[in-house]
Amino acid sequence: MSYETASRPITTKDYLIPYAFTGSSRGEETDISEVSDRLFFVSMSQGLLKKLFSYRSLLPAFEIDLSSVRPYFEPMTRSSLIEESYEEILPGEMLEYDVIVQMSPRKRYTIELEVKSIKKAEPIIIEPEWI
Amino acid sequence: MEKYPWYEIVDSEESLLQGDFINSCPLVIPPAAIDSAKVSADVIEYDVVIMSQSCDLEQRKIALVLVCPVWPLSKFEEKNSFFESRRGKEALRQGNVLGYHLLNKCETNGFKTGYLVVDFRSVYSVPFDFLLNLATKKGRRLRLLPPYREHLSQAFARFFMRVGLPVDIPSFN
Repeated sequence: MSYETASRPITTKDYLIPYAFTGSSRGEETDISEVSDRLFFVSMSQGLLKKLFSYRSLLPAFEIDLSSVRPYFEPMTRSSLIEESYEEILPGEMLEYDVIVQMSPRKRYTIELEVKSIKKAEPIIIEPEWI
Repeated sequence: MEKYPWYEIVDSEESLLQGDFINSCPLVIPPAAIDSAKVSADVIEYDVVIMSQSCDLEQRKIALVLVCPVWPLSKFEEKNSFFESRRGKEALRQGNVLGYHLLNKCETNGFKTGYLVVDFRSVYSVPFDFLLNLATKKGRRLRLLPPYREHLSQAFARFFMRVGLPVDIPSFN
């Protein structure tokens, strides 16, 4: 996923130090910091903050989805679910159907043949081009 | 879709290639035994598609041309309810039905077809000159284009090269 870097510095009327969102994805700590910074500036611009306090304390006040920067892993105790998912996938994708359909020809008729000769066939040898 | 058409129409004088369709191709079925100077033989007619390799045909390196019957999918649906079902048609589309290969519709005026099914279980060989003469007489014909032609050929090869094991590994149940 790529982050679009803001083309202009972001400022608010109450907090004039320009802040440029770097869009960095180098480290999760940096990204978390940027998320909380953005929340702070948004809150400031909307007048949500009545008194000055450390914007870091805002972090627990918002539900932040960190799954993209800090994937959550837990011990694999639900292996049965994975097996079930394979069970669901395999039959549909790997099953071959052996169905035979006897189709009649479009037309059928009988002809009389005169046998001109019967002889043992000789091999037909096609020489490869590179010889 | 327009960029990669499935079919083109070629003149009757064009050389035969893999993927050419010949309608009502007569095939002589010899009697069980030839024990006299005059015998009766059945002739059956199929719409066929040429399966022999194009390079062999162009350079006349084969005396007999391999052909397989082609059917409209609707005929298959009439004959077998499996192909009426969405599951059956989807299996056919995905190449999971042994011996049969699905081809797309043709929308060209004068050659319009529904979906077609090539039957790999019925392979016939037709003398080259006979087939060339027949194709010339029949006029313009439908031709399957690359890469769908090679896809057909690959499906045929996959069907032909199957190996049945006398003792298989038991399934993991």
